[in-house]
Amino acid sequence: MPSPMTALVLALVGLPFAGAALVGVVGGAGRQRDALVVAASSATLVAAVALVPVASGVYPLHVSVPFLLAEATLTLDLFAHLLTVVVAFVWTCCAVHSLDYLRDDDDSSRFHVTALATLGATMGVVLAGDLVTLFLAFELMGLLAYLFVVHKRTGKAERAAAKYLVLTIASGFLLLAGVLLTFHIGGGDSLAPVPFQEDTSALRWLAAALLVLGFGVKAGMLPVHIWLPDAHSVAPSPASALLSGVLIKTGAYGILRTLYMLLVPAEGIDLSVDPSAAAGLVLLVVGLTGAIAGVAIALAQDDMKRMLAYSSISQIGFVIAGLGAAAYLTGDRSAAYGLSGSLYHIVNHALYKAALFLGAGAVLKNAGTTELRRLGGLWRSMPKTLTVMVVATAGITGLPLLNGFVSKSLLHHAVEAAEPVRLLGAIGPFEAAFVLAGGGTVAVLAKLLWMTFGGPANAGLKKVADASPRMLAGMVALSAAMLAIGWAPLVLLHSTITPAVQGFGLDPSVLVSYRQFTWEHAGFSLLALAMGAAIFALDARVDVSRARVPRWASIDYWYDRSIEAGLQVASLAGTRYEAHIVSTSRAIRSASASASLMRLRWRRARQRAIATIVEGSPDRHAAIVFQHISDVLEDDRVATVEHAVAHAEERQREAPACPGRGCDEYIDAVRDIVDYTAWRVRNDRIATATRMVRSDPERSLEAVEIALREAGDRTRETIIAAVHDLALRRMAGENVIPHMSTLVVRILHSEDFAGNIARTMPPGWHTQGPLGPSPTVQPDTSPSASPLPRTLGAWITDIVQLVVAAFTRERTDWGEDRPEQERIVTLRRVSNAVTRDLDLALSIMLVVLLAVLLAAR
Amino acid sequence: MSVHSNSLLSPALWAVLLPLAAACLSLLYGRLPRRGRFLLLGTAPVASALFAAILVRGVLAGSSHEIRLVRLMPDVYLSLRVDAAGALFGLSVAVLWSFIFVFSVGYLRDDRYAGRYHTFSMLCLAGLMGVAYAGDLITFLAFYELFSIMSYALIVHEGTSSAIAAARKYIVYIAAGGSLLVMGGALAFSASGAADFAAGGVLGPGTPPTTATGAALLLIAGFGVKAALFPLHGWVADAHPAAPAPFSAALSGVMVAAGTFGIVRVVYEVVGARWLAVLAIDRGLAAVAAFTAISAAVVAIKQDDLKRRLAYSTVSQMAYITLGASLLAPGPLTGALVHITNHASMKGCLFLCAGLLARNAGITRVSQMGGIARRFPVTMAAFTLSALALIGIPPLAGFVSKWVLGYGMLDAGAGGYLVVLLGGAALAAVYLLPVVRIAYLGEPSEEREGSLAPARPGNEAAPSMLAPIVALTAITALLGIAAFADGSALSLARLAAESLAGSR
Repeated sequence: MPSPMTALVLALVGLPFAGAALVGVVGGAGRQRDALVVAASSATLVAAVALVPVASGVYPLHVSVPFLLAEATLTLDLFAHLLTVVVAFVWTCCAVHSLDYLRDDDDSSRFHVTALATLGATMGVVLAGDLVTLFLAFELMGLLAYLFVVHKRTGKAERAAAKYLVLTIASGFLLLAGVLLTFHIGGGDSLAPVPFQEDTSALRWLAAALLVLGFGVKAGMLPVHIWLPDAHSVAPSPASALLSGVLIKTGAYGILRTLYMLLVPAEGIDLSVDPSAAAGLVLLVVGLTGAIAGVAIALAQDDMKRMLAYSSISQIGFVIAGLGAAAYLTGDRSAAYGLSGSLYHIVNHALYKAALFLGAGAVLKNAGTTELRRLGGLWRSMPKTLTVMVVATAGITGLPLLNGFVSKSLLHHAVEAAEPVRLLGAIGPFEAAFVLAGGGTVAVLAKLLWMTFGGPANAGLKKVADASPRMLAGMVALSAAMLAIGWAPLVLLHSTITPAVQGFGLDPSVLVSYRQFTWEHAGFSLLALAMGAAIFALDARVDVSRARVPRWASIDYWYDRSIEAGLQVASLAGTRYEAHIVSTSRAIRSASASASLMRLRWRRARQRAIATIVEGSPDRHAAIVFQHISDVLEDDRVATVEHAVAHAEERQREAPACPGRGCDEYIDAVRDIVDYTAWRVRNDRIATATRMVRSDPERSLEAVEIALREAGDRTRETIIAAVHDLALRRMAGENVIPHMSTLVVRILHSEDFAGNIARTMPPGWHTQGPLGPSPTVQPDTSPSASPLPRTLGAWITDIVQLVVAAFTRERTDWGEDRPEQERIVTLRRVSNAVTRDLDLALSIMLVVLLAVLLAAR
Repeated sequence: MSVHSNSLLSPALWAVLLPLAAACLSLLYGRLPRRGRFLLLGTAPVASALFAAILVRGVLAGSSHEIRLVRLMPDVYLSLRVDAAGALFGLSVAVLWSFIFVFSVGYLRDDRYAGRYHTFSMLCLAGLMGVAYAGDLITFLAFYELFSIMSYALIVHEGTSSAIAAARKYIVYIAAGGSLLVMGGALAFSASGAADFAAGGVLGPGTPPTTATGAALLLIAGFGVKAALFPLHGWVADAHPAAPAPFSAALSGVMVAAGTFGIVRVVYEVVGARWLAVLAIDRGLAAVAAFTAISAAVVAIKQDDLKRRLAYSTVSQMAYITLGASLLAPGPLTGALVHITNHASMKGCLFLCAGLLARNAGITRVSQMGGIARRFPVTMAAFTLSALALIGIPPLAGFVSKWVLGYGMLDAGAGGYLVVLLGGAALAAVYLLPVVRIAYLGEPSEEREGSLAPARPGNEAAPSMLAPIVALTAITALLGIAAFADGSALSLARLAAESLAGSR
């Protein structure tokens, strides 16, 4: 029986999924569904908050459920708990906002289902107690978010979504490799540091690099951020708020876990390179570069949401820089500044970036666009939205009395402490970059607000309504949270973040004595403000968004190029390979053609043998006549095939039955069909001729020639007329064998070869042979033979005659109205083929076995 | 190991005999009552599956048994034996076959030659069950040749020129492979004097190295034809599109896998891991498998014919299994064995979906699939899930295989092959996800929309075709989510790998 705490922890993950399922079942776009959406996300929030009194004092709380390979572990510690509350809160705000935002969207139910399921997955990421669970939840979250990006299904959205998916899956495989390696070196069962072992340090580095890169993709870390601006700007605004506010933060969270797990310095083992410091320095540089590059590119954007997206890249840069500083400074007291600043910033950024994106959503919904050039002067018509966005801007720029102030100050301390060299006495390159990025943030947000709300109203935007109450509710709630944190920033710091920092093994003493408001902090805030104003003024003069950067300078360009090149290589490989396959097919086909020729000869020999058994060998003269007749009939057959092919080629020239490459296929089909048909006709004629030769060799050659003259041309015409249609059917993939058989039967009926011959031959000749249309068992009339052998001989003759009759019936009495017959014949043909192949394999086997047995002797 | 006193009581025997009986029965297909015949014939695969499940339970409980059926020569018997690997493979075969049978009832409803199809299909099932439970190399080869050659009639079934050509190609490859197998088997037999499978191999340390090399190379190449190892895989891409969909599902799901199963038997129980390591054949085999895995996946990317694309995917996935088997350690072997089962479920479902689309909408090419998900929602949902599973997205079946394989590779000291494993998986995403994307987001073609009835619940396809697809998807999910459970495919594969590779 699970305790209430366990149940609540499970509910954090389970409730959203249950909600998603319910919403999916209810569907539609009614009030019922809307209520469900809000209820599910707020219930999760309530569960998270309800855990606060229950769980305090028992952290960390472990819950495990059997799942997948072994079990999934959820661990609720103080920081994870804080994150669950923040995530559920932001989610609820966005859910409320999205009800109105998606009112006219046909796919709104899909959005809500996706959102709730993603909430569950995100909770899984935050609560994950072991590396596999973290990976699983992270993958699930990333894949579900694909539906956010692709939601609008415009061409732009699909391209962005494709890029997102490629990077998500690629990062998933990087993560999987990293996770496997971590397990290999002895970790992963929990998120605690992996003890160092001799001779695994290379693998450890590799694992850390893979994990950081894998998480970094989702976080929007600099070189692998390329999906982010596209994806965030095409997703519906509430989804952008979630992507930017929450999802990319899980990437940063993953990086934090990786650093803690793999790179905390070893105790008692002396390493030449301190892994933590080295990795920290790299991350510090990557983070600060991202922070500056993000704002620089953001200034050049002409779309609200793209601007905000690049600003997110910049903000996540701050977070990563803080993590880097903390890792770099491990062992130093100031390391606590970095970690606490990052954690705090994660919370803060979730609040204000969500508010900003929701504001952008309100503008898009009511003014119809987010393009800055087409906006302006909305302060008059959308004052409430403006208010919320101003509060959020104050937050993100780090003004005093708002939440960003404290986290930025903490990060500033960390960067300052991590400064390797100091120029100009006080300010080093890191600190300079930090301040510059802060100034840039101010400029970006100022430009965004000014171009959207400031100035004169654009034509067409005169009668814009403000955000609806439900949309506003979400934004106001977020602003209220920002103001609350800003009013008493130390509450959160001391109650949650300091213990969390301690939990990560850092000395929190600097935080305990931390003073929120000092003139130094305020000074830097003002400095950033001043720099922002300067940049904004400069930007207004030299419109950066008009700046043309060469295409090769963007990472996007190289991404596109590499994808294209990859596909081209694949296509080339595929084509080459197929060509190769076709040539082997040809070889097999020609080999099998010669095999079937041999089969034909063998069959003829067998027929001759059967005839000989049944009737005794023909005399020499009859054999010569028979040979002549065979030649005449064979010539006729060849002529028929040649005629038909020539005819088909002519038809092809006049009116192609098929364009391009298919022409060869058409001629081939014609040849095959005529070949088969003419062959069947010829066989029948030969059977008739055989009977005739046996009864009267003298006159038969002449009789055959007469009969051919009478019926031959007409038959040829019939075949040629019918073959076109059959060839087309065959090319369409239809099975034409039954049609060909029908054709042959029709021809044999109409030409009446036997009848023609009968006219020139003495009456009654055709009843003498065993191959007549109605085989009759003739009593043996020879009186001289002894009774027993005679009976035996008669039996054998009878059986052979019946067998022969059964074989020839295929040719002689095949009515069109007897599909059963046809099926038997087809079945027999297939089984013949199978037996033949069995013969082949068996005979090879037997030969080999014999050889081996002989050799073994 | 106990020899059954009364071999007629062995479930293994019945699992093989029942399909044979059903094959005889389906000769009378046209004369049986319409409803009754499906129940009659369907009993065979379902009962085989039940017997296989009983055998799995027995193996999990620790018992194993062996029966001798017919004495062929002095010291040579047809014998059946049930071990963990065989039990797992047998259960996968029988379960997949049950679903395929149900699907084929709907798929072949208007086919005049359905009787012929069922006859040969049951013969194949009997052969495969025999392969799963074969106790020695001779029995293995006998059953193996049985289903290999009977498959010819199923590939040629539709009678189109491409089917005839594909079947011809198939039989040429398979007959050649079969003769290699017989030669290799004879060599191994003459060197060891015993044909029974034995953990650690039957070739003694005193065997001349040339004999051992010959036997190993011949047997591996012979099975490699069926297992679609480069460069012996030429028949795969032609045979799959030509065969009727239910049979291409079986072909991809378990028949190709029977080749890899044969390789596992050869590597661990005929030639023996020790000999392979001495002769360095294991490294060569691993390299070939790695190359096959990547190159087949690359070739699959640009295939427009859906079944052809899936066929190349099979070549690539089968190479993982061979790779796992060739590393000569229990870890990767576990991954390989469990991937046989997982792949059967995933790829079986994908081929059935492709068959359903081909039959009900006439769609065989990826480029024709635009927006088809609106018309076939259940089918495409199943396709999507199975595709995600095949790529290795957690928590579905494919992830379990990849995880166990990858983990095992690291343990076996062959971490470099991780690149192949994950690279192949990434390529799987490249060739499968566009199909899904086109089906959901592509623009439907006018002419197709005109020819198809509008989507309504219930008119997607016959229940007998949809049910197997849904069931296989559920199994795919279950094989992933419940992999931890006792008695799951994974636990059975662990057991099998331990007994095969643990005692070298």
